[in-house]
Amino acid sequence: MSFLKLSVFLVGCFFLGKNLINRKSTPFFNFTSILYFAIGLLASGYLYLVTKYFSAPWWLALSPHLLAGVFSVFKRNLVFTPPGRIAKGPAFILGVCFLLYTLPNIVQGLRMGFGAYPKEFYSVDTPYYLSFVHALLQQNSLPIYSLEDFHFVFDVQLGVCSLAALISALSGLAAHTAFVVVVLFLGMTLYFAFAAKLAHTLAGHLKGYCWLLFLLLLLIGTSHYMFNFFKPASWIDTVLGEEKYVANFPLLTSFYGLLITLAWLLCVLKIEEKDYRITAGILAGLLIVYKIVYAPVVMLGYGSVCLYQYWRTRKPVWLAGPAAALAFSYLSYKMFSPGALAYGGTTRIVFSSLAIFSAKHLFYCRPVFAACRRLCGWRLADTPAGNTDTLSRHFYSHLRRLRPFGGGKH
Amino acid sequence: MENINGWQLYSTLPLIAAVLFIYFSANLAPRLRQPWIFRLSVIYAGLLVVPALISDVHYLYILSANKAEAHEYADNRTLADALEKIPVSGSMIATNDLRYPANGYRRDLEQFQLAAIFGQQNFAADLNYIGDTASMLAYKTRALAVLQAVQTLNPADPSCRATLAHSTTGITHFLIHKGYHQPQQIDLPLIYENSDYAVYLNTL
Repeated sequence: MSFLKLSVFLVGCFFLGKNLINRKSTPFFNFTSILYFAIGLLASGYLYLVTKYFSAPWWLALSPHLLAGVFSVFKRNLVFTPPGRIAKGPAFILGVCFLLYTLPNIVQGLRMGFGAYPKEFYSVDTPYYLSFVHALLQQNSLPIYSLEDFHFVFDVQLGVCSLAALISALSGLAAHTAFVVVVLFLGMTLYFAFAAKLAHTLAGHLKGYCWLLFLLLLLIGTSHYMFNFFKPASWIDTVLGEEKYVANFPLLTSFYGLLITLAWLLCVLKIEEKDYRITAGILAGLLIVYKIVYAPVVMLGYGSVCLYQYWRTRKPVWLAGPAAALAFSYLSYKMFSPGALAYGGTTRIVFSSLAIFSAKHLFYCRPVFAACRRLCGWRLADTPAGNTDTLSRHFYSHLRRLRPFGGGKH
Repeated sequence: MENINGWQLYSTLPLIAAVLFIYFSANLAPRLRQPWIFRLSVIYAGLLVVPALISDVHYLYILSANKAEAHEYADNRTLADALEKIPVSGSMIATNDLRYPANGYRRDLEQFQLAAIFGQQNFAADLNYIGDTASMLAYKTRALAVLQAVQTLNPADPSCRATLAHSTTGITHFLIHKGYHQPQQIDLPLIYENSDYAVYLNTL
């Protein structure tokens, strides 16, 4: 029964995401369907927090799913055409990559998640955040008081915990099962799908299966400890050291933050398509509740890309996206930030200090600037005709104009 | 106040850098008519991926061979047996041990297991993640005094009684970890006991 309820919920997430982004008729067997599902899933966690904010019954968080489903049925805005065939070779290798990526975490998740209670914990932050899932299930208003310290409010982003609590409440699964099995598995599957699409979009045209190497780079080569890979002397410690495993059970808030960032990067690559443009804005806004500390970089990037597009096309729609995302983020921060709620939003603004880039960090950008300068000085070949990668085309043409910083035809 | 989590602001940069790196390697490098640049970028990608793959497989081996050596592994079974006897609703737990068992109890003042296993309310199980403003430091001082009182837990001792009474928080149960600052004698109703833990009802 739990499985059935969970399945219905996941279908509802797809309909919610689809009608949030595109209410017109779209094919079901398309990558955008995965994007719709991801948005619906992430929005569900957000909606659950909205019910807490208004002290409303939790099941009201599911009403948009229901409305979206009914809307899709009446509008018939899904087209079921047969999916294209996937070659066996890449499919097999993709399967191996998926197993390599997920297996350690799935093993840990299953060991923690099954049974009446978690018999073991991996990663010290897992129980820390699991306690917030319990707290969300027990309390029906914000701020959420900690179960660890009596009448105390911690400054944590509750997006992932909220998603787990919603899944637990609706399916009847135990809180720890929802958190370390369902939420983990959904997140890893989506992360893999976005990474595969991104690697294929950027490098799919290369000979052989070269893009799979880049897929692996996105999956396991960019863990939290990537900077250590730049120091060959620390590789042994990075690979075999206790604290630096690539396959450590992830801190799920950070993992979902990276998932949103990856999905956002994919959307930025295809930002000229309407679906991706809208999704990029929603993702940037949702980061506030899923991983607030990742929001400044993503919002800055989103704003820059949209400003660039506005400068190129002069269409105001490119300014509307960042403005809406910013307004949505600010509203969400005011509504859900535990610091703002518990301390009246005046005595503590918790993450403001993080948003200040200090001069010493800019120092690290110098090699990047130097590399760009060198790159622009090189003789560049013409952009091949028929290149469908729009971002590449624009970036490339502007790179040519810049050479050598101020030269070239405009 | 310097935020110790400030480094997290840059956590997305490796991912963004990787996407830019792929973009450069697969789209720009081939057009530079310098084949060695593309080859170098592929080799570099390999150098980033191979150690990660080895680490991945090595960790799988550890998980199957000796999970106690896995990353920040904590066994909850004996603790869960004791916590199971305390109701989730309407209870509040105070304990004599706030160490987290992973890595040989290296972490003190952050016993995350207590609230995570079943979701019971604790009086003060995590004193490391709270901030360092004046009000929070006052909270921490009070919580540490209660921790010391639970470690002695002598109803006949007036100072112990006073500390627990002044906490005015409605502690309903004491969870005692045996062998760690364990009270000598506890004249309170014993609810449950196993090899590692004992649960007492607070009647003070």
